Amino acid sequence: MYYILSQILKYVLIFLIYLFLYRVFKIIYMDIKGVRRERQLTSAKLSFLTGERTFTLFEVTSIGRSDECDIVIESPYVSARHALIKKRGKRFYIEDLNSTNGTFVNGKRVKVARIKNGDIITLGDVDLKFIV
Amino acid sequence: MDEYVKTGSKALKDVFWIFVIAFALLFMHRKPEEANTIYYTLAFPVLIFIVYYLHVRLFPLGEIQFVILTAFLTEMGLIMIYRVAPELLVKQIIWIAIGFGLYFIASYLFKHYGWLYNLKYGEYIYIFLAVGLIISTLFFGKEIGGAKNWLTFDGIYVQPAEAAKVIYIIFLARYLKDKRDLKNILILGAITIGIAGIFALEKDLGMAFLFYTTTVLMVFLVTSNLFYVASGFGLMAIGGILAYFLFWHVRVRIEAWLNPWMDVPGKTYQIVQSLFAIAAGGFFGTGLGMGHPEYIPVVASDFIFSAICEEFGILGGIAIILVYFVIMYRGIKVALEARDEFGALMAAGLISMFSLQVFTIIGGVIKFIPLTGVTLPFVSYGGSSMVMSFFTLGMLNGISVGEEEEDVQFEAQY
Amino acid sequence: MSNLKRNIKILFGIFALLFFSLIAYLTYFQLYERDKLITSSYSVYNRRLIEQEKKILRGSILDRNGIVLAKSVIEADGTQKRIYLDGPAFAQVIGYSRRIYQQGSTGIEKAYDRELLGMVGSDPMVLLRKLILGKGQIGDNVYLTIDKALQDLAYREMEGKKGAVVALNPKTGEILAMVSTPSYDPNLLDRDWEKIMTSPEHVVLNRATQGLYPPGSTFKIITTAAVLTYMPELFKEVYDCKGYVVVDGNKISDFGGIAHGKENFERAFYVSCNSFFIETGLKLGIDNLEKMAYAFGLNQRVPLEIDTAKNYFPSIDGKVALAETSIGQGKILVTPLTMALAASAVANDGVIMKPYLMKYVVDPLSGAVIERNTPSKYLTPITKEVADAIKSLMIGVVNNPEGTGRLAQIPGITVAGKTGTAENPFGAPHAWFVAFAPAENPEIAVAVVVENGGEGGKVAAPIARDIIKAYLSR
Repeated sequence: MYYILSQILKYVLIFLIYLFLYRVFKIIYMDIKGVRRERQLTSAKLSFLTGERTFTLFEVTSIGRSDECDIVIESPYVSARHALIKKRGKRFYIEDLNSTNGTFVNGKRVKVARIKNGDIITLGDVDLKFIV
Repeated sequence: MDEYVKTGSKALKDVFWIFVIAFALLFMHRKPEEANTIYYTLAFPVLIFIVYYLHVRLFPLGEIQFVILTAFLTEMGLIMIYRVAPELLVKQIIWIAIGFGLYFIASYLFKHYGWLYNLKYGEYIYIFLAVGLIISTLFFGKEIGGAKNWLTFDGIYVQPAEAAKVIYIIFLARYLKDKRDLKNILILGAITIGIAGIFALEKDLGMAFLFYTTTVLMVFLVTSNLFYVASGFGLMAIGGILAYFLFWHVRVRIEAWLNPWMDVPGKTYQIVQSLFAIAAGGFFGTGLGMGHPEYIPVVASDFIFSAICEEFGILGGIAIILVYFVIMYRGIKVALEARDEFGALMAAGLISMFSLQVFTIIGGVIKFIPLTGVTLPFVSYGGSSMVMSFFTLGMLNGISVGEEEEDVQFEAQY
Repeated sequence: MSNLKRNIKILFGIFALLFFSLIAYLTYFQLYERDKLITSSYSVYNRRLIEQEKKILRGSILDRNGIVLAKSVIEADGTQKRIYLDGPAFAQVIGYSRRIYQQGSTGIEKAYDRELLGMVGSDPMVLLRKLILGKGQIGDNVYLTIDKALQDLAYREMEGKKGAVVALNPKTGEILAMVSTPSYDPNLLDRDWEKIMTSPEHVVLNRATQGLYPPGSTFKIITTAAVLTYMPELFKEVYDCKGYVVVDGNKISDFGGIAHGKENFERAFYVSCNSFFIETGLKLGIDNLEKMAYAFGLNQRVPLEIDTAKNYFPSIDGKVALAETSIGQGKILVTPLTMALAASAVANDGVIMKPYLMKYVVDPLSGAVIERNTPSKYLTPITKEVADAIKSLMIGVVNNPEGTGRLAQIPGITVAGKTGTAENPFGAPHAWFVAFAPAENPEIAVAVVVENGGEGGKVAAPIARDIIKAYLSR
C-alpha cells in the first residue's frame, strides 16, 4: 500500500521540484530581460533650464552626484543617488531616493509623482525641465 | 515587478507543497517518536514564511531568491535527515532557525561594509584571526571522522575553520584591493601555502583545497595574470603529489577514486556504498522510503547527496545542483553590481569558496573527483556549516542591499 | 574596474562549467555504469540486492522438458532455502548463488541472477498489477537446453572418474548435457562450504568449460582441416610409417611405438598415426596450422552464459613445436567444450553454432516468455566440402576394422568420431573421444575426456557411445 503511494508521489515530487526550478529560472530570466529593458532609450528628455545640456531618458534613469548614475549632476546639494525617473506604460514617474534635500516637481516636494511635458524638476539647487 | 514577486511566491509555495507531501509520506513510513518532532516539523514552514515576509519587508532591494533557494535546500536536507537519522531532525531545524537569524544579522552588518576596509591594520587582524581559528584545533581540537578540525565546548561541537573561511575572504578582499604587485602576491602565496599546510597537518584536505583554490581565483580576479594562475595550480599539483607520497590517508583517497573496487569492505567502503545508492535510484529515484540510504556511511552529512539520489533519482540530484548554480549566479551578480572593488572582491571570494565547496563534495561522492571531508551547505546535517553558510549568504545580501554612504551634506536653503 | 568585472564573468563561466560537468557525469553514470554495479561480481557488496533477494521467491531452474532441477522454498522461520533436486549431476552447470553469505555466485544461478529474481522485463505496470493482486514477488523460471535424462546418464558414466562430458546439438548450438566430475552435492553448501571449496579434487570447477587439457589426437581434425583448406595436394600423400619420427634430433613415437606401415591419409587418420601427421604438419608449416587453429577458436574463450576458460594456443616456435602441435601435444590446452564444437563444425557443414544453455525464461504467473535464445553462428572455420571430407574420415575411425574408435559403434547408426590419447606431465594420458551421429544428418555432437584415463578409444569412446545411443533412441 505504502509502496504504491510512494511510487505515485515519487513522480509528483519530481514534478514539483522541477516546477520550482522552472519558476526560479524564470525569475532569473526576468532579471536579465528587465535589466536590458531598463536600458532602452525613450523619446523623453531632461534639460537644464539654462539650456546647456540635454539628456535623453532611458526606461529607468538614475540621477545623482555619483558617477554611477545615468545623469550625473555635480552639486553638493545633490545626493549621490538622488532620484529615479521611470517609464510605466506611456507615463513617466519620478521617485525620490531618500535624498537629503528632497525632490520637487513644479515647486512641490514629492516622494513619487507623475511628471508631464513641461514640468520643472528641482533636485537640490538644480532645475531641470522634462520634455516628452 | 509584479510578476517577479508573484513568481517568487509561487516558487515558495512549491517548496511548501514538497515539504508537506514528503513529510506526510515520511511520517507514514516511520511514525515520529516524540511529539516534539511533529511540532518542530510544523514549525519549519512557518519559519520559512516568517523569514520570507520579513525579508521582503526589510530588504526590498535584497536577494529574496536566497530565502527561496535555501528553503528548498534545507527542506531536502530535512527530508533525508528524518529518513536516516530522525533523532537529528529537531536539532537541524533549530540550526536552520539560528542560521536564518544570522542571515539577517549578517545582512545588516554588511550593508555598510566600508568600516571593514578602513579598519586600521585590518589585514593583520583578519589574517591573524583566521589563522588563529584554523590552528586552534591543531592544539586544542578533537579528531572526528579522520580530520582534526573540531573544538568542543560542553558537548557542543564547533568547527572554527568555518568561521575562518569568512574572515579569510575579508582578509583577501582587503589585501588584494591594494596590493597587487609581484612581491605582495608572493607574500600572499606563502601565507596561503602555510594555511594549506596547517590543514594538511590536521588532515582536512578539503579545506586546504578550498582556501588555496579560492586564493588563486581571487588573485586571477585582480591581476588577470594567467601566469599566477598557472603557477598556483602547478604548485597545488606538486603539493598534491607530495601529499600522495607523504600522507597515507591521501594515498588511500586517491586510490579509492581511481579504483574503488580494490578494497570494498575496507578502505573504499564509503564511495562504493555511495555509488550503489546512486545506481539504485535510477532517474526518478526509488521513491521516498523505498530505498536503503541507511546502508551509506556518514549519510547524514557528507553523503547526504547520495541518499537524495537514491530516493529522488538523478533528477533530484540534478535539481539540487541547479539550485546551487542559481545561488552561484546570484552571488556573482552581487559581485558584479557591488558599488566598489572591495565589495566586489568580498562577494566574489565568498561565492567562490561556497561554489567550490559544493563542487568538491558532490564531485567526491559521485566519484568525479577524490573524496574529501567537506559538507553540502544547507543540506548536510551540521551546525557550524549551516550557520556559516547562512552568514555567507547574509553577507552577500548585505553587500547587495547596501546604501550609499552619504558624504557630508549641505543643508538646502529651502 | 571593468577588468575586474570581466574576470568575475569568467569566474561565473568556470563555475558554470564545473556544475554542468557534475550534471553530465551523473547522467553518464546513470546510463552506462549503473548496470555494472548491479550485475557485476562486485554486486556482492550491494546490500540492496541482498535485501531485494530476500523479498523475492527465487525462480526455478528446469531442464528442457520442464523437469525441475533447482527451486526455492520458504522455511518455517520465513527464510528462503534453495533445493537442488539432482544435485551432483548438475552442480557445476547450475552453480549456486550465495551472495547473502558473501560467498559469491557461479553457473546459471549467476548468469541468470536477475531473471531468477524477476528483475528483467519487469515493467512497472506489471509489477504494480502483481502487487495489487497480492501475488507477491516471484522470480522468473529459467528453462535450460539440457536434457535431464541425458545428463544423468552422462553423470553415471563419469562417476568415479575425473573429467568432463559435453553434448550438444550441432545444428543449433543447444547444450544437451554438460557434466564435470568429480562433483559434489550443492545442497550441502550451507554445512560444508569450506570443505567443498578447498577440496583437493576441485569439485567446484566446471571441467567441461574450464578444464584445460592437451587435445591429443583429436587435434588431428584441425590439422586435417588445415591440409584440406590450404594445401589439399598433401591429402593425396602416401607414407610408410616406421613408428616414429625424428625432428631436430628429437624422437617422437607413435602410440606404443607401433609402426603402421604403408598408409594413405584416410588410413593414417583412422589408425591415428602420429608419424604421418607430424610429417604432414611439417609440410603444412606454422602459419597454416596456426591459422586453422584460430579459425576453430583455439586462441579465444568459447562464448557461453557461464564462465569459460580461454583456450591456450601459444605461437609455434620451431620445428619440434610444430611437430608436437600437429598431433595435439606440446603446449596446447583446450577445454572439452571447444573440442565438442570442433566436432560440431564437421557435423554442421563447416559452421560452428554459438553454444547456449538457456532455452527460455518464463514468467510463472502469466506463462509469458520473457527471454529466448535462438541459434546463431559462431565460427565458420571450414567449407562444406572440407567438412564432408573430414566426416568420412571420422566415419572411418569408428567403422573401419582398424579404426581406433571401434568401441563407439552403435548398430543401425553411423557414428563419426576421433579418439585422442593425450600425453601429459601428470601421469597416464588423458582419454579423449569426440563424435557426432547420425553422420548423414547429425543430431548430437559429443566430447568426452577422462583425466589420466589411458587410451581414448578404450576409455572415452564407450562413454560417448552410450550417450549418443541414449539420446538417439529417446
